[in-house]
Parts: sequence; C-alpha cells; structure tokens
Amino acid sequence: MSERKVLQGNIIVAKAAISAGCNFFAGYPITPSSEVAQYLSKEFPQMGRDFIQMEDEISALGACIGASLSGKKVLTATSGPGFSLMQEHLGFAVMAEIPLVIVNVMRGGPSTGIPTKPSQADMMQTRWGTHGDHPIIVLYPAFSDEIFSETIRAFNLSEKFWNPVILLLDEVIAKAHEDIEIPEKKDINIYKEKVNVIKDLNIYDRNIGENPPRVDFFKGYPIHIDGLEHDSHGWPTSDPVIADKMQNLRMQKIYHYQDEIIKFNEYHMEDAEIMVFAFGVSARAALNAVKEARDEGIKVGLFQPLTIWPFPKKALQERFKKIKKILTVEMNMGQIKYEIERVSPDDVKKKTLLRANGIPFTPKEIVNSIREFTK
Amino acid sequence: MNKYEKYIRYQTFPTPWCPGCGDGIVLKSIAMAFSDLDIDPNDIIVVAGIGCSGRMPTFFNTNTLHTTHGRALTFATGVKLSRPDKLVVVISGDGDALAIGGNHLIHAARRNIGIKMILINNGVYGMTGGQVSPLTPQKFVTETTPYGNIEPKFHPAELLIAARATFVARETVNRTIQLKEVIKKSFQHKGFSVVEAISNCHINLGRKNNMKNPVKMAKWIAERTVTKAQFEKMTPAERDHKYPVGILQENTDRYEYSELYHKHIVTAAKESAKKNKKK
Amino acid sequence: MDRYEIRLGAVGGQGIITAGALLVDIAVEKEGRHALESPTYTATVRGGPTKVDVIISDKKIIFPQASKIDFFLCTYQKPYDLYKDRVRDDAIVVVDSNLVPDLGDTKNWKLYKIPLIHEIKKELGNIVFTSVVTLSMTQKLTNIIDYDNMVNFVKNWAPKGTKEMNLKAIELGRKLV
Repeated sequence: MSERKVLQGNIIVAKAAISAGCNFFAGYPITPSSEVAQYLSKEFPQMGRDFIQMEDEISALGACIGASLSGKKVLTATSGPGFSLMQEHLGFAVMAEIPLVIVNVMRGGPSTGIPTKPSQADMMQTRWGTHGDHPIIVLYPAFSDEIFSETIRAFNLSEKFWNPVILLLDEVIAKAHEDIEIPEKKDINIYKEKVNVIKDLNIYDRNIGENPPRVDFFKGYPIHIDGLEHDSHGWPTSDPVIADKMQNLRMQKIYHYQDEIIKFNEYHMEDAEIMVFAFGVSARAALNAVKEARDEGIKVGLFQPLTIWPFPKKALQERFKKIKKILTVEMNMGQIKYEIERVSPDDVKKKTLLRANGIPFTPKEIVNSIREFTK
Repeated sequence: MNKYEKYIRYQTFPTPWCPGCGDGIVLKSIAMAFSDLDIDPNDIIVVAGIGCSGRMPTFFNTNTLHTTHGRALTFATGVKLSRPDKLVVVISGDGDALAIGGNHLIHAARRNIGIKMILINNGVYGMTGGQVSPLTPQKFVTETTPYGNIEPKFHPAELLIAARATFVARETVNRTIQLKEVIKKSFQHKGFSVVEAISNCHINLGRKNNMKNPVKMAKWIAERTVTKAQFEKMTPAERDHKYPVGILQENTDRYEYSELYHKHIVTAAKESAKKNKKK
Repeated sequence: MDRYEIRLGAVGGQGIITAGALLVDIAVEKEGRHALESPTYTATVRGGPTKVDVIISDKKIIFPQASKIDFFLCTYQKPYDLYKDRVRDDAIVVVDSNLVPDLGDTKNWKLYKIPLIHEIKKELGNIVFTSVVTLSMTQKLTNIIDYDNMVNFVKNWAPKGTKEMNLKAIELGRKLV
C-alpha cells in the first residue's frame, strides 16, 4: 500500500533517489540542500550503497562522474554557489555523455546572495552555466508528489539519454514539511537500460537520434573516456568533420526526443484568454490566484512547466493561436521572460511579475497583476 | 612483443610529447610495473587531469579516463569508492596536482583512499608553453617570470606527509629501474600513495635556463639527486636544492578509505538498522 | 475546512518547530488531511527569532506559505514585531504577557495574554515542554485537530520516560486558555 506521510521536500528527493536505485552520493554541505546529503549519509550505508562528503562541489561532481562510469547511479545536491562550482564538471559529463542527477535547491545570487531565502534565479545558469554548446535537461517540480515523480524521472531521463539532468527546487518547497502519498514500488517506473554489445570499442558510435551503447569501466573492454572532443572510440580528436558529427549527435539526442522529455501541467486553460506562465512555488501561488481571478469572472489559466529545458516551445506556440496575453511570474529579475519573448508571436501581449528579494509572490499579488492585465 | 607492451595502446600513438621528454620513461615504467605484477588490464584504470601528463592515460591499454585540470583525484575517488577491488592510478603534473588540484591532493592524502598517484614533476607548465608552476625552482626564468621566479616551491613530500599521506616516494626519470620498482611498491601499498617522478622539460623550462639540451637537463637533475641518508646529514640551506629519492614515508597501520567504508561503516550501519527494527 | 493558517513565533525556536511538526503529523497521520509546515531557516535558529507556519486543509494545499494567518502565537517581542504582518484582522492571537510587552495595534484580534514561559517553568520545571503546551493551547483555541487524536499521538511520540510530563503539559495548555 502507498503510504501517506509528512516529509520535507529535500527528504522526498532522497527517498525518491533511493527508489530510483541511486547507489552513490557525493556532495558538499550547502543550505538549503544539506538534508538530502544528511538523510542519505544515514540510509545509504545501511543499504550497502556509497556516500561520501567531498572537499568542495567541484570534487563532489568529479566523484559522481567517476562513480557513474563505474556503473553506479549517482546523485549530488547543492545550491546556486555550489552549482556554479560544478559547471566545469557538468560540461565534462555532457561531453563524455555520463548519466547523473544534480539537485539544485536555489537561493538568491549573485555570489552568496541572501542566504538562504528562496529564489528562482538559476533558470539560465542551468541552461548555459557550463561553457560550450550543450544539451541539457532541467526538471522543476512544485508540489510534494511532483518532487517524488520528477526525481524518478530525472534518473530515468539521465539513463536513457546519457546526459546529466538537473532537478531544480525552491527553498520554500525543499525546506517545508508537507504531506505526500509515496507511491507503491510497483507503480514506480524505473528505466531499464538495454545492454548493448560493443563492437570494435566504438563506444560513441551511433546515428543521429540513437542512444549510444552504454559501457562502464571494468567490463572487459579497455575503454577510454575523455572530456576532449573525441571520435567514436572516445579518443581525442580535433578533426573538424568528426567534431561536427559528435556535436550534432549530442545536441540531437535531446532535441530528437523533446516530446518525450517535455512535461507540463495546465489549469483552467480551456477557455483562457490570459495565460499565466509560472513554475515552482510561483506556480503554486499562481494557481491560487487563477482560481480567485476566475471567481471574479476573469478567463485566466495557468501553464506550469515541469520540464524547463528543453523549453516547451511547441506547446506554447500551440496555445498562442488562441491566447493573446501571457503573464510570466518568476522570482528573479527576468530570465524565462526572454524565452517567452523568443517563442511568442508579436501579437501576443507580454507582462511580467518579477522580484528577486527573497520573498515569494503571494496569490494576492498575482491576482492584482492578472486584473491589471485585463485592462 | 615485450611483456609490458600488452598494457600499451599503440592505436593512439604518437604521443604529444617533445623528443627527449621524460614522460615516455614514466609511461614505460608504469606499464612495466603493471606487467611485473601481472595485473589484468581490465582491473586497472588510469586517470589523469590536464597537461602533458594528462595525455598519458590515452596510451595505456586499460580502462582510461582523461578528466579536467587538477581534478583527476576527484574522479578517481568516485571510481575507487565504487570499485575498491580495482587498481586506480592517477597521473598528474606539478601544476595539475599542486596548484589547481592542491586541495584535492591533500584531502585524498588525508582520507587515505587507495589511489596510486604518479606525480610527474618537471617544474613547469609544459603544455601551455612554459609558465611558472608551484614546483619551479626560485630564480628560474619562465614565460610568466621573465625576471626570475620569486616564489619558493612546495616540498611535495613534506606537504603530503603533513597531510597524513601513508606512502610517499620520489625517483627521477634518470633512474628508470628504481622508478619502476618504487611504482610497483606503491601499487602494492593499500592506502593513498604518491610517487613523485622528477622529469625534464628541456623545451619549456630548460631552454630559458641554459639547459635546452635534454642531456644537460638530465645531468642537472642527477646533480640534485641524493639518497635519503645523504639528505638527512645536510644543513637546511644545502637541502633546498636537493631531491632525496626512495621511499620517504610508508605507514601500513591505517585503513584504506573504501575498505574502511565498506567493511566498517556499512557493517555498523546495517547492525544499527537491525537494532532499530527490533525496538 | 478549506485552509487554516497557524503561525508560531519564538526565540531559539526548537519548541515551536516541534509543536508545528506535531500539528502537521497529527492532521495527516491521525486525520488523513493535508498539511504543511515551514520553519524559517536562518543561521540564527539557535538563539534568534524563529517562526513556523502551519497550514492544515481538507483539500490539497496549493500556496505553501501563510498569507492570511488565522492563529498566531508568539512568546517574544522581537519575533512578534517581525512576524505579525500577515495575521488577519479577526485572528486569534496568543502572546506571552511578560515577554511581549508592546503589542501595538491589536486590530479585531481575539487576544490572549498569558505568562506562558513563567507558567511552564513553574508548573513543569522545564521549558522543553513548551512544544506540547503550545500544541495543546493551539488545539483548544482552534479545534483544528481533534483533542483525542492529539493525546493519543503525543502518548506514542513522547520520548521514553516523558509520557506523564507531556500529558501534564497538555493539561497545562488547556488550563492556561
């Protein structure tokens, strides 16, 4: 039977990771994410799984990559400043195509910001934080049950696409203790990788849109893994033709499967004339606001993306055929609003509600903004 | 084919190293140590960071991993904790290990995680064209110290011993037999080990300091090489430019980290979980 | 009930954080309702002003923060000043009469001034019981959780050897309001 419990958001992440079969955690303490590490430091040894606290976030992600390549399912958890330190290794994991999950419980910035007030200011850091062109998957749950399901999904997507997946969390939700129905084991879908046969050590060889054969170390093949651009063997190369092919393979493996990766929730969108676009805790405030505005007769709906990157461009463009007003709510100085501007036609009116002072928007503030938008 | 050659990956040759570079000697010494100990290549992983030394794993026919600058030990920590049964070798240069990667070095030593590090000390950043490193001797001219280096160098062995390393040794590329032997001994040590291999960069360091000939540089290294016994008799001033060779620290009392975790922490945690259930 | 918001304020804060956790646990585990608790987390948790917000509802909780507080209990002046902003005009408000001397505008509050900490020290001898006294007062004044559910839950929850004292704490809470 599924159990109904009160759990802190960070603990839900840790429990979901355990359910997903995660068996290696390396991290470095940082508020407001430390409970993920604390919980796993107690649980993992009991299960014979590995936990290590490293000397910084750089080494934490390095250890995760080493473990992932040694056949482990790995997780690390951090917050904005620590996530900044991880960027070089995030790029390595993208380049070498290594599955791993990073939880980023956001806090304000730049630098150490306002510790540790809530913020949604890492929207672009998750997309473009590491250097170079790279595909990335970023998930962003808002409700306790979504924290569980999106954590599982993060592991599944990282294993399926051989790519790091970032799970964003709001401080408010990560630190709150909320009731949750933990699903039964049989209802949790865990991605099972096909075992691929390697031919001629061509570990990165495949056609565009195909996943590469997964090879870990110590499987009887002398494989080479490199952060340099490499050929299908993984051996370093600066051949422009090969580099071009490999860049495309990496980018396309995500974009080819966008429809499978992109998930979102819609509320009261049937006849909406105004769409509120909000995520995380802002989406929870917005949902209350939308209900209140509906009570006043305003035709407004909420679009809550669960996948932030890749961005739900297609779905939004579909909505823009009918809806001509969009209100973007985010706890930053304006990041996703540029993405909305990019994907929306000129005849769509855009309004924003932005703030980065550590105080989440209340439903009342969003209702006021919706009201103004009707004028 | 020589026995050690089964550990060499000839497909990826040529190496990027300059003619006369000591890195080739280190490569062969490691392969010979593998061969002497008759280790299955599948049970070996060679990890490195960035720099001339960073390219070395590519040439071993084992599991190999080329990582980021200074961070090879962190990747290797993940591997060793996941697979304590494997021989995890890290190859690093002096800039890689002691500048950008200095923090990881002291923490790996403190943990005593069973990684076998070969620290190739050529006293300069070679791959980037010859800039000063934490092991460049004072007064030496480099691309970024055109008037002579004013910073003192680290004494890596002393630094490592202070960081509680359990195996520290030093050899030079001039002493190939001894180098291979000490690498072999380090592979047999249970905890963290560092073998500092003093090497020559006549191109990027020697050229600017009247040693552009590799033989001249090899002689310069030889002049500075002393035994541990000789070194101990010297005054501090005499010691500063000498390199004692051989095993400088060997402590077999401490547990290796992954063994400690898997045998002791995991066992204790499981017992504690059982007890809590009974309650 | 659609949504009921409780805010507990103190200094140091372990007592109210425990009280908040107990309220939420009882609402969810004993009564099958939806509940959420968010303690403030600052570096000053031990010694500084602290608050915990509790939301209890029969429906899924949408906005996870308190914005129209129905019940506010505060034992020190500083957290009172800091955290009374979102309290409704018609809320139930409990303050420690010794430690919150300056109330300012009390709106249309149903106000209880009680020498809470003094009473706990005098009657129970240890302020560690502030958590259960606070829980009991909140229960009596709001009726947001059932009395019997509270007593049963506390009996099971109480650390070894403290059951009697915790039941006494419940009684004291009821007596004070």
